[in-house]
Amino acid sequence: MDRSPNSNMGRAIGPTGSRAGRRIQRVVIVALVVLVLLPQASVAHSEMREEPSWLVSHFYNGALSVTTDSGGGQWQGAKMLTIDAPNATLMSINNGTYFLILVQTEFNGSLDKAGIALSFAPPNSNGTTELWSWTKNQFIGPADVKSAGELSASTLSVVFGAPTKSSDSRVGLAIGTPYADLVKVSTWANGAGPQSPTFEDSNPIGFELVPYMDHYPKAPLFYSAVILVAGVGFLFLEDRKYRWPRP
Amino acid sequence: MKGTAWLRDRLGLGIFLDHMIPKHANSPTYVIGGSVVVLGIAQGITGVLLQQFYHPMPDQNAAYASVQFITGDALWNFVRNMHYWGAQLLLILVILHMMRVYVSAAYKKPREMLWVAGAGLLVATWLLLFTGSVLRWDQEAVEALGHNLELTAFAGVLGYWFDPSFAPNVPILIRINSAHVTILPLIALGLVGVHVYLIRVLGISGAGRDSETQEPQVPFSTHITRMTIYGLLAIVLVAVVSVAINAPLTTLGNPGIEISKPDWYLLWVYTIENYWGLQAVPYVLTPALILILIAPVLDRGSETSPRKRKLMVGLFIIAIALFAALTIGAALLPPQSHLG
Repeated sequence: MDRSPNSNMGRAIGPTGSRAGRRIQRVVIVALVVLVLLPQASVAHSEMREEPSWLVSHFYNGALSVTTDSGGGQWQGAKMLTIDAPNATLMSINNGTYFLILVQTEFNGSLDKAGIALSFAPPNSNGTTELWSWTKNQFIGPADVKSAGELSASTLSVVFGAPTKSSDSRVGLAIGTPYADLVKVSTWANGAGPQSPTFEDSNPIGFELVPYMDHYPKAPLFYSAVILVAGVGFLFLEDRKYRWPRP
Repeated sequence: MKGTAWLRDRLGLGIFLDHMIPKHANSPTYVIGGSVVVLGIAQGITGVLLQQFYHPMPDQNAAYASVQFITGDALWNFVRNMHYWGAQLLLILVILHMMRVYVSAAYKKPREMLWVAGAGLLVATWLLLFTGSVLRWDQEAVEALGHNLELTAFAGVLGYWFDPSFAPNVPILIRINSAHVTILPLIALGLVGVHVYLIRVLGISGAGRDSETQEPQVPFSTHITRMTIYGLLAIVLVAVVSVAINAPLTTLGNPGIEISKPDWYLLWVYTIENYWGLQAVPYVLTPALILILIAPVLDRGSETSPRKRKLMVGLFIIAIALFAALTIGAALLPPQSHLG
């Protein structure tokens, strides 16, 4: 066999031997079958522990409005968290300096007797909590926390808005820091609140204000363009060699 | 020159440097592969420097804090930027090299194993970038690891190493770190060795010209010079980008939430997850890898002209168009949740 470095330059030497080719094909088919069957007989067992619920406050680039209109533009990037006790949905957004928490619950009754409250257990607070409570006629909470509520189509919606670094609230939150078990939710329809809403049946929810995450949004476009242009370029250059062979 | 000659004599480098290669091997598209080696050496150096300050412990957020320490110092932040942007360029160059080899049908007999070694290097580079991104232990890293751990449930024995139950006493981040700094570089070095050996034995592939046997020959040392120059140019480019743009570091990783998207080389997989879920990923990745590996089997004829290899060229165009479409699609859509 000629093993000199340039013996095969530029030209493939005929088809692969048919016997070798058949062997390779057989190996590939067996490999494919094994790979398809492997997941069915998995021996790996990821430890999928149950994660606690997290309310993520997504970044919104703009001024935030303390309104309950969940269909409004500022809520479009927000993800909904559904909780069972009490039965409610939560959403949150932030713009780096201010954040909103929107709580919605199914409700059929008089708005005069209904309300929603949040209880915060700030870190290093030695077990003391802070209450933000909304009813039609009364808000309980720090002075720089704002709230608004509305009953519409059997849904009670209440929104709370606060600066991330509040001077009046002890909840002061840092962007990008996960706060586990920070918030509890309470809702009532019988006028029981707002002075002492009960949170005993409510599981604590983690809360995190996240910053804008997509640092280089145009990078994928750039890399895709590089690969597309290079692919077309290689095809053109290779084809040119055959169309205009060197004299 | 005397020193070079002395080394050449003592190390017997003549067997490599003096053997003749066709002149087209020094054209830009044929030097991409060589410049990958030079850039890979630079990656090794910046990686060793970063390893002096990196703490691969997830507890008490030590890993994230050590990356924050690196980014807080101007010099080490520059080194980190070099390592990150160098890795991006390295993967791009490996992909471009594979594309060039594919288009020129340089995988054909007797170079099938060269192609397989190259495909192995592509996978190793891809995994090096992935494991490197997990080491940051920021939000994107934790989500990437979450996807990885969930995929192990589908990958069977192939995913067992990634499963925490493989070594329950060792945090997965430490094993990912060992993969990034030891296992994968060793695999890559071995594959580079096989690659270089096969190029020496089989020769550099042809240029598709009928008159190629008459092509002027030049010593391999000229190729080494050319690939060093191209590699150094790549390093300069990386240095310029590193001065201008910081490598990403998002917020501390929170395993309970999904809010980020992966790096560009994983975005096409991310789109598949968006439509068919995480469990679809192995069923797409595995056939894609097998298709790459069996290219020499699919295309066994002696013809190397793209116009006469319509099936292979068609597959090539579909592959790069799909990659671009899926990548751009994921880039334009908001992040979605995939973990169960």
